Amino acid sequence: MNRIDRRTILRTLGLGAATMALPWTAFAKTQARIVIIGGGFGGASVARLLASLLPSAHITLVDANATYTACPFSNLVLGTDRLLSDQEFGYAGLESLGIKVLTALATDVDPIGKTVTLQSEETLSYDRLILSPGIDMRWNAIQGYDEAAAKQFPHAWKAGPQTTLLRNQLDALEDGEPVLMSVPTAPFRCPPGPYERASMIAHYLKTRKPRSKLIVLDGKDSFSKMALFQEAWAEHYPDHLEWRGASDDGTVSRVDTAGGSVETDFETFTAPVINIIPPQKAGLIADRAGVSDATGWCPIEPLAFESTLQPGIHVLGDATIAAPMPKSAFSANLQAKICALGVARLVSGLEPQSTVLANTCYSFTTPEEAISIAGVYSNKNNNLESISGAGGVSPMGADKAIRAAEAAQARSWFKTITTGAFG
Amino acid sequence: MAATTSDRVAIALACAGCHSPQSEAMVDLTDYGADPMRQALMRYRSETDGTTVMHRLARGYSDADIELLAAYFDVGAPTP
Ligand SMILES: Cc1cc2nc3c(=O)[nH]c(=O)nc-3n(C[C@H](O)[C@H](O)[C@H](O)COP(=O)(O)OP(=O)(O)OC[C@H]3O[C@@H](n4cnc5c(N)ncnc54)[C@H](O)[C@@H]3O)c2cc1C
Repeated sequence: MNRIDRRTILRTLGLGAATMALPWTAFAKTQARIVIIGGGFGGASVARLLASLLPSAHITLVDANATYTACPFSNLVLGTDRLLSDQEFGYAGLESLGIKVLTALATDVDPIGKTVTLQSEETLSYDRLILSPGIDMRWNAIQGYDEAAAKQFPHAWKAGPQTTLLRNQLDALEDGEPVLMSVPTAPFRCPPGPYERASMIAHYLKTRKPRSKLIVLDGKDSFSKMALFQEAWAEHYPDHLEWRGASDDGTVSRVDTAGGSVETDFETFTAPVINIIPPQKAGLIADRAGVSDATGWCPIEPLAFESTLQPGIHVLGDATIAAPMPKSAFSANLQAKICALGVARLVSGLEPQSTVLANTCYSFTTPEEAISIAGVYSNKNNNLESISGAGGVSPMGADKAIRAAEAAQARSWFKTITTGAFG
Repeated sequence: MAATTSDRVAIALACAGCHSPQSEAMVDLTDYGADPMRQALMRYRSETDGTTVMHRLARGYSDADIELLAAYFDVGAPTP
């Protein structure tokens, strides 16, 4: 493979260097059929890199929707003038790389016969299957909270119509009426996400409905970047945000859509806007493929993210059990790229290799200020673990310039990660 | 065990989560070079009171890891 082709790959990765000498001859030959279910941060990213690494392979990406709506920054759609259309990405960029993109719901997987069934009853045969289906809700884990209830009490934990519904409800709120939010226990998608959302809703109330207040009912007593969020809340939203942890009766056990209320152990709360972030599990197709375990999530080996339950099937992103890596878009994108390299090696008769992984997640506390958490991980010895002494959160008590710098980094990150996935 | 190109590529994949030609607030690493990469990471790692994201991340990388990253970003290296 010549230098020009290598530059193409480097651009795909968003990185430049001239030392990219992968086992090209082996990689170039394979005609493997690779099917990817889920075209979000994990699925789109793995498709993109595989198309570069394996030019002769047949790569098919299946997603239920023709347009992907990204969750990161969707809290700013709720609380600021950001539009939902700023969250939307199509698949033309992937198609231009020769990836076959099917807009279809995958309904079944046969891991023995190595086929995927689509809702149309069409079947796809694969040599390697990669699942990045994200999450599904555990309906009725909170009594009464099912798909119908979500039309009245939106979760907005998958961005799209649910985000619009919650924003419209906030817009219809009368000044002085309360807003409620319920947050589950771990593990769930985006550990700091509920608290960024609380910040953005509090900002919305402070600027547009100043006599209203958000009450956050939490099933936990501590959360991601807690001290930093609480510092920001005390400064910016003392009158617009109240957080109640589990030991302060914060656990929501039941919702009543007819009464417009939620219940904890000792209290009933009524509000015109109720955002329920329910307990979650791996996307349903993971169950059909037999890659999820009793926890509802998918165990993987950390070198190529191959399922430990079904050989030949890889799982990425939120659906996996990959702690200490968080369920984030950054993690899904990196796991996808590591998986692509591992799959390219596997289908070319080579073993996957260990490396150093990382994650950075930014959260907005006001539209102009953000805080961050970072982690560094090793997947040596088949064990995904944090590298001690590394990572951690933004400093407490930092001045506005530091918070503004991290907000600018967050905006840059969004551009890079969405370009890295969708082109 | 000698490091392979795959090792160098794999460790650089995390950088590409933030650094790209689109990332105005983070330096674009395309054609960054081996020496600047080594120096920047060593400096971040040695500044024990540093609090930026890069300070927090650099603490997770060993000397050998930093050499791998420097080699990956070595724009002058011959193309095999
Ligand atoms: C409010 C909020 C804020 C967030 N902010 C951040 C942030 O700032 N930074 C960050 O790193 N992360 C953030 N996240 C987390 C991030 O959105 C997820 O971690 C990320 O989307 C995970 O990627 P994924 O590929 O696992 O799943 P997804 O991105 O959800 O993609 C899954 C895709 O699979 C498709 N799919 C599922 N099942 C099927 C099927 N059977 N057939 C066909 N298609 C199917 C779905 O349509 C979907 O497109 C946030 C999340 C939320 C909710």
